[in-house]
Amino acid sequence: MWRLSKIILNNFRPYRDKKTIEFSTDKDKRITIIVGRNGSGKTTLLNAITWCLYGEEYHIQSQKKSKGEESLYILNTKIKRDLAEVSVELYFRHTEHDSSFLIKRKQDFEKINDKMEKASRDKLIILYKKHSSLNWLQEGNPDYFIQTLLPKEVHDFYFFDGERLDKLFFTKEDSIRNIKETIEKLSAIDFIDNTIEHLENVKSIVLRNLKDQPKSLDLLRQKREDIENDINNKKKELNDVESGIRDLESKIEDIDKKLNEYKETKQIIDRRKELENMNNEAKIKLKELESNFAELLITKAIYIYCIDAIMTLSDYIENMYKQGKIPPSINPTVIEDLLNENECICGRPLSNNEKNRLYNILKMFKADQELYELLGGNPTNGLINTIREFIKESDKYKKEILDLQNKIKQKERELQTINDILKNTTQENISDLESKRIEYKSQLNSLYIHKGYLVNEIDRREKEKKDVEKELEKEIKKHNKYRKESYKLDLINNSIKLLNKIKEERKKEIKDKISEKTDQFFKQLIWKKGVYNKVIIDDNYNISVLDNQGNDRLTVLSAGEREILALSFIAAVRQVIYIDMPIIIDTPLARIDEENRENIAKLLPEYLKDTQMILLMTNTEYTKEVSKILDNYVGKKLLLNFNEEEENTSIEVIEGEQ
Amino acid sequence: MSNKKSSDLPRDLHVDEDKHGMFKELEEEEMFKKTYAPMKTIFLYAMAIGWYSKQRIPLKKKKASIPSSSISEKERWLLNAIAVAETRDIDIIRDGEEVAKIAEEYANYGIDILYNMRYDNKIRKQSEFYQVLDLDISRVIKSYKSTSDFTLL
Repeated sequence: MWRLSKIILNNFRPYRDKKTIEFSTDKDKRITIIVGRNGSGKTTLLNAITWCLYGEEYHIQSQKKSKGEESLYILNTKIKRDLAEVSVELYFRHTEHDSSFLIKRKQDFEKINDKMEKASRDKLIILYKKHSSLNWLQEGNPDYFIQTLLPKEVHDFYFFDGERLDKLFFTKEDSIRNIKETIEKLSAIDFIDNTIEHLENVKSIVLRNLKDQPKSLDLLRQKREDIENDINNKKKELNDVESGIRDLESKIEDIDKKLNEYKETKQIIDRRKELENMNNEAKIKLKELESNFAELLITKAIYIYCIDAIMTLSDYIENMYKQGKIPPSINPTVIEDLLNENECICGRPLSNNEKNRLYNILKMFKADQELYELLGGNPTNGLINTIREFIKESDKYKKEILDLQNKIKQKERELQTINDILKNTTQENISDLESKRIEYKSQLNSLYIHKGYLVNEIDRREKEKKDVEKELEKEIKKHNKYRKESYKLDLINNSIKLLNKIKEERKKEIKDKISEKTDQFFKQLIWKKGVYNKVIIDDNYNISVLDNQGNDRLTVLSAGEREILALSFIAAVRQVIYIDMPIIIDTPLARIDEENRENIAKLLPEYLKDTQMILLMTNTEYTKEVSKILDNYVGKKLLLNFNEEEENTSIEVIEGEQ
Repeated sequence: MSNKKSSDLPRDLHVDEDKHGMFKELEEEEMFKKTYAPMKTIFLYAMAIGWYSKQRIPLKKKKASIPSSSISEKERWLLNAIAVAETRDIDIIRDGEEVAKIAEEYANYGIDILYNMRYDNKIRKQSEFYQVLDLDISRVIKSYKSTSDFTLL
C-alpha cells in the first residue's frame, strides 16, 4: 500500500520558507492528527495537496477562484525579493516493497515594479525509485502519471472538507449528476464511452471516403454530416451553458455567504437556504412520483379502456357455468374408453349408428373440456382486480403529487416574501446584494431552460442521425463495389451495440454494489439502531433513507446522521472502485454536536480499515474525549501555530517521532 | 416437433410496416423505455385505445414486431376479452391466430391516437405526456361510471 510519508511546503501561503510535515505511515497507528485554530493553515494544507497534484486549489473561497487570481495568492505575502519560489512536494512510500515516488510542483516569482509576479508557468516534476534503488528517475509524462494515480475528477472522495460533507446529497440536481459522472469515471465507463466515440469517428471516415458515390448516396451522406456537425455544435453550447450555470451558482453562494454575515438578515437567509434545499429535494421527489405514476398508467390503464370487453367475457364465462356447460358433466375419457373397446357399459357391442352418435358427443364434450381447461376458473377476476388496484393506486399517486405540488408552491410563496423583504430593506448593502442575487437567479433560470432545450434537441438530432445512417447503410448495401465498406460498417455498428450493452451492465453492477455497501455501512455506523430500514440509491444516484414504515427520512436526518450517510457512501465507493490513496479530512467533526462527535470518532477508523488518514482538526473538535477514542490509531500528533505578524505557520510535533 | 396448440398466439404480433416508425419513436420515450418490453407496452396501449374507440384497421403490410412470449397471462386474457366481445363467440379464444389478428387491427387504429397524444404540438415535454394520458383515462372512467359495467367493479 502507498502511504503519504511527508509533505514539504516552500513559501506556500502561511508556510513561509521550507516547512516539512511528516505523517504516520505505521500500519496500525495509521492516523495523523493535525490540530490548529481557524486560519492556522489547515485548509491550506488540503489546498497545497490539490495544487501540487492538479495545479488548482479546490478548497478556496469561490470568489477568489472566479477572479482567476489564486495562483498569485499562493506566494507568502511577506516574501519580497527579486526572485522567489513556491513549491509543494509530496513523498509517497510503499509499505511492502521499498519503492517511493515524489511529486513536486513549483512556481517561480519575480519582483516587477515592486510587486511579485509569476515569472513562468508552474512546473510539475515526478521522481521515482523502484525496489531499493538509490537513484531517483524522472517520470516522462507527469500529467498522465497523476491522472492514473488519482484522476482530478475524483479527488473529492479522498481529500474533503468535513463541513461540506453533509451536503453531499443535499445540493442541487447538478451535484447529484456530478456524483454519477464521477463514479462512472472511476469505474472506467468513460473508457467505454471514448471507445464508442472513436468507433463513431471511424464510421464517419468510412462514409466520407466512399469513392465515386452516386448522387442519392452523396446526398444522404451530406445530410448525416450536417446533422453530426449540428450535434457537435450543440454539445459545445451545452458545455458553455453548464459552465455558466456552475459560475452563477457559485456567485449566488458567495452572495449568500455575505448576506449571512449581517446579523439582521442571518435568520431569514438561513430560512431561505433551508426552503430552497427543501424545494430542490421536493422537486426530485415529485419527478420520481410522476415517473412511477406514468409507469402505472402505461402498464395498467389498458384494462380500463377495455372494461366492457372484460365484463362481456366475464358474462360469457358465468353463463357457461350457470348452464352447466363447464365443467363438462361427463369426462370425455369415459366415452373414449367405450369407443376403444367397442362395447356398451352393459357389455353389448356398439352398432355403427351408436358409434357415430358417441363420436359426436365426444367431440362436443372434448371442446367443452378444452375450454374449461383454458379458462382455469374465471380469469376475468384477475383483470377486474387489476382495475380496482389501478384506480386505488392512481388516486393515491394523484393525491401525493398534488400535495407535493402544493407544498412546493407554499414554499415558493414564502421564498418570494423573503426575497421581497431583502430587496426592499433600507440597508443599502443588503438590498444591493439581493438585487444582484435576483439578477443571477433570473439568468440561472434562463440557462436551465436553455439547457433543457439543448438536451432535447441533441436527443432529437441523435435519433434523426440514426435514421439517416440506417437509410445510408441500406443504400450502400445495394452497391456491390462497397462490399468492404458495408462489412466495416456492420462490424462498427455491432461493436457499438455490444459496448453499449456492456456499459449498461457495468453501470448497473457498480450502482447496485454501491447501494448495497452504503446500506450495510450506514446501518453498521449509525447509532440509532433499528430506526432506519434501508438506504437505497437509484440509477441517478438519488439517495433515500427508508424507515421501518417505508418513509424516506433523508430530509429529516440530523447533521451527524447526514455525515455518517456521506461517509458510508464514500466508503462504499472506495470499496467498489478501489484506488490506493490516503484520506485527508478537514474539520471532520465541526458540524457534529458534542454527543455524536464521539460516535463518529469511534467509527471513523472502523469505516476506513487499513487506510492512512490525516485529520485536520480545530481545538474544539479535538476534545479530550475524542482524543481518548482515537489514540489507539494515532501515530502522530502535530500542532499548527500561526504568527499573524510574520505571516508564518510553524509546526510542532506533540506526539510521535520528530 | 412443435407442441403449438391452436389456442396459442402466433410467434410474433405484427404492426403495419407503415406505422412501425411511430412505434419506434414512442419506444424511445423515457416513459416506455423503462418498462420491461417497451414495444409490447406501446402495442397493448394502442390496442386498448383502438378497442375503446371501436375502430379496427386491417394491416396493409405486416411487420413482426412483438414476440408473443413477452405477453403475460393477464395481458393474454385482455386480448381474449376483446376477441370474445368483438365476435360474440367464446370459442374464439381457442383460435390464437384470430385473437392476435383482432388485437393487431385495433392496435393499428389506436397507434395513431397514441402517437398524436404524445406529439401533438402543444405537448413539448415528456413529463406532460403522462398528464395527457391521465386526463384521457379519467374521461374514460367518467364515461363508464354511468354504466352497469363499472358499478360491478
